[in-house]
Amino acid sequence: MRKALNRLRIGESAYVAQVKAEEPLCTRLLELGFTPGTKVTLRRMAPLGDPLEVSLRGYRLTLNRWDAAAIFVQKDKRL
Amino acid sequence: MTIALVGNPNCGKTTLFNSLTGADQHVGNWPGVTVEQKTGRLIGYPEVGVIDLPGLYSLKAYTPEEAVACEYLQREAPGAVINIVDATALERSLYLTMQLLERGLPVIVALNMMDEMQRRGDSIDIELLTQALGVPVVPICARKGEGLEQLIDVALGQALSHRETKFTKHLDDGPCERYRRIEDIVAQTVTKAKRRANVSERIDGVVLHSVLAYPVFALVMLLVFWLPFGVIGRFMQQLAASSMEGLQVWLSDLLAGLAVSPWLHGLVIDGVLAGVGSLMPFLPVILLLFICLSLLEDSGYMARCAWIMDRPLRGMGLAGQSFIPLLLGFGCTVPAVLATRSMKEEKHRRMTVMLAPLMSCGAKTPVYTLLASAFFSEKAFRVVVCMYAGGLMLAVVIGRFLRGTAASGGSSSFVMELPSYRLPTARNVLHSVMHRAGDFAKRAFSVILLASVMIWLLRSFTFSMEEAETLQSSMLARLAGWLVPVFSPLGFGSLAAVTALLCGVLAKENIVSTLVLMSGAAGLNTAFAGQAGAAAYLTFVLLYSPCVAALAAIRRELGGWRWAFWAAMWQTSFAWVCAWVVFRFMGG
Repeated sequence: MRKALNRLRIGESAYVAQVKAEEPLCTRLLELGFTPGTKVTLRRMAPLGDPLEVSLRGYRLTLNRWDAAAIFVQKDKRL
Repeated sequence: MTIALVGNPNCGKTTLFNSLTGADQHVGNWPGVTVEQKTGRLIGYPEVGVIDLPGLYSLKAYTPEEAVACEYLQREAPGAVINIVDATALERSLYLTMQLLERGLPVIVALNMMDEMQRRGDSIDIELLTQALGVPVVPICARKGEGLEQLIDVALGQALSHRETKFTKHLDDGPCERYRRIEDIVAQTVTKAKRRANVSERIDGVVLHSVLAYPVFALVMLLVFWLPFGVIGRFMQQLAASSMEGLQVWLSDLLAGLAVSPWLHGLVIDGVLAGVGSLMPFLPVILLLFICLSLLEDSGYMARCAWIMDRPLRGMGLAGQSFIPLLLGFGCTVPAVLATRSMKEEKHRRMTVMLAPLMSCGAKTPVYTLLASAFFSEKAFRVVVCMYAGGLMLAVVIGRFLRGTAASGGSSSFVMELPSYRLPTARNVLHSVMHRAGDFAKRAFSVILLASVMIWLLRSFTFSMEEAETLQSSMLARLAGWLVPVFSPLGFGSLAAVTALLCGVLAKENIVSTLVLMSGAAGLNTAFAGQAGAAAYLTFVLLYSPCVAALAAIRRELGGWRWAFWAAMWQTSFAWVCAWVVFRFMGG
């Protein structure tokens, strides 16, 4: 079951399946490490629900809700 | 020969640059401090240049500041490229390293923030990493200055030998392939300790808490403004004021003792000392404000502010990244306008630049303090707060209004890192405060000194260079007199008030020095129509045209005098209307 990254619960982890965004955002997200198969954890949300903080590849990053919505994740590591 | 410093945002490039060159470039704990390339000379090797490039995640530029760095690497051929890698975010940092290696650049990897990584209990096998990357890897700690000698040795060796890098080139690689190779390298070389919540995360648990975040934010902001303008700031201001008075009396006696001619006595005491000297009491207040701002920057809290303010700021056509420039605007508009360069979305950037002057800069502070204490004695603090809050509120209103008119569409992305909290080092805070105080002193002894002398001349003499009997017969009255009626409906149609505004366009510090010079013995009461006039004047000062330096910065950032001219015009006419409303409202 694939779902958007922003649909994860806080503290929940999943693996990146696909990034569906327009350029140049798509490349930038991949370059920041959201390549398929990468484990991502949703850390926290700002008090008003946006932006989000996620951790991946041993570092923490913040994203806007709609940018996170372009990243699809799944429970399984393998595609 | 040149050595270039390249790395991700907020990985410590500028700290390293300062240690290598002895420069004192501004350092802060938020991504995007450096927006232009900075050059210096390597200490001990004057023939070697060092270039500090803005931070970038990838050689595919995404923001204007990243483009600066990419262009440099494409155009120039530096003898060595020191790639600063944040050891605490190794995988992500190595992405840029991969791209640098693919281009065949003479890379040396400086593994920074080793201390922070070791605190986490992780370790990296430097030798294996050197083998895997095929280029020298030097562990350093830029903040403590550790490992720098070795780094310099290796970099100079690299630059002199033009050694070919051993890396096999994969020029057509994409992000996925690069990360696959990085994963292999990291798996071989890094041993991770079991993750515990570190200090930064625990602090964030409170500071970014869904309920506590805004109260904490409000408290911090209150403290930032209460320290300079509350009891402590006022005490220091009085202390400075009385010592300035002492100096004036002493110098006046000294000149009288030397029996100098009356005009020289007038020039020194009523011109230079009254002008430049009138600002000195406000120096402690401005310095306190700067200390607070640099503590916010250095600790890493400023980046958190951007995070929690993203959503509220979007309501006014701005973005979270606008927060940092706007807060810096309370110090000085020039760096605030420059700091917008790390913003991706052009329309947010433009809006931030246009709204930044509404944040009362440090130079406007003396005007507020002077007039508030002269006209509103015990309510002075509240009046100063009103000015700051008024600027903010107007920014909100204007932002909302412009957002409605501007073509909407295209959403901006808020992609940034929350840096780890760091204890601000005394050296860093002192550095940035001295830097700003230095700017102040430079202006005081150039523009403000010159303006003070000019005004003293114009005010004291007639066109035939005879001593003016009254102010009305002076050169100044003839030159600036025609402007006075324009401001009469606002309650400050006096020569002193209007001249001060004109000089204020050169530098806002001039306003206080000119007011003091011009009103002289008669006191401020003659220049303004009571409290209403003073309040209207403060409103006008808050809103009218930015100073020349800020206008030049606006021109540079928005590309054209058209924007700067537009900023000056709309702000001045807007200021006139608002001042009029305030004057009427206060019953003037």
